[in-house]
Amino acid sequence: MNRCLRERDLVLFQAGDGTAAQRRHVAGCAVCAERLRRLLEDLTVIDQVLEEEPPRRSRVRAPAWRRAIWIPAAAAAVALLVVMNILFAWQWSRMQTPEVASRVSTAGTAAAATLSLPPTPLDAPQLAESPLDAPVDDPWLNEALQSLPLGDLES
Amino acid sequence: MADREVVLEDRADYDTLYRAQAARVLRLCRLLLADPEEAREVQQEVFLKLFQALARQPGQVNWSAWLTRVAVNACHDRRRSGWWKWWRSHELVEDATISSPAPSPEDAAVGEATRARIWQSFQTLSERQREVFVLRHLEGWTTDEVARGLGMSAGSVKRHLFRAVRQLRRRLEGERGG
Repeated sequence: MNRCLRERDLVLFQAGDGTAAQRRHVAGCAVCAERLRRLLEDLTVIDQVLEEEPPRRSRVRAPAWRRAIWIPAAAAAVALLVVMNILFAWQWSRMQTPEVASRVSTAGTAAAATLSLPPTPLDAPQLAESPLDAPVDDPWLNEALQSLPLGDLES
Repeated sequence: MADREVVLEDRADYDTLYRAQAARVLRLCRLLLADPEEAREVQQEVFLKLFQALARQPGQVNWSAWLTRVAVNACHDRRRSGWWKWWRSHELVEDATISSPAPSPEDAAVGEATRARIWQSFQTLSERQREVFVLRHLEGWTTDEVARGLGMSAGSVKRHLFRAVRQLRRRLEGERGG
């Protein structure tokens, strides 16, 4: 092997993954021997540093856009929430106007008629003021109610 | 009585292993996580697992290799957890010279700036590069052992090792040049 080792091969060589041909070459090549010496020297310094505690605040700073992205994201979320709230309130206020209410009532009645459902409270006949004034179909119950001393209770 | 003896024997094994391996496991975790507090937590986690494993299988096991494997996996899991990523992505960099501990004789030889640069460069290595570098170069595992341990091919181990060394050396050379 006459060619000098590539950087990758030199790293693997020092790690013990070299071939016999590479070993022979490094033994006979002053350039590769010097490169290997420098590599080992660097690795010694690196090992020495990594043996110690890492400096407390030598952490890598996240890119500015990554650190700042949560601010516009949060602002957009809040803005979306406010807009949705306003839209909901506006829609609700529209529902409360008499015109819309009557339209809704008419539509509800029509739908109920189609489905053969009992009328909604809005369309129901006016209820009696007191449940006791309401007409009762059962004659026996009517009689019983009439015989009750209700005047005493009301006074 | 026999159970009690077994427990005491396990306890003795545990103590022996702890004394022999605790510093190495802590150093391994510190390198893989690059954070001393996190490393201490994972170290405790690993030795808790050792205690449980000793109770289950007190037979002949290469506990040193077992500890390394468990530590690597625990660090791997820790690094993969969402909150850890979030925390790491939001941490701030400061001048390392501000809060570095008191200089040791080694510090004086290497220099504060060089130490900071090497650590910064080490922390920017990919997870795989860091694991391979630590196991292959610092722990002295063979390429095949690293490949088996990390579930990758020998070629990938060599590639990651080379890239890690190249990146660390570039930082060191940059330091010398600038």
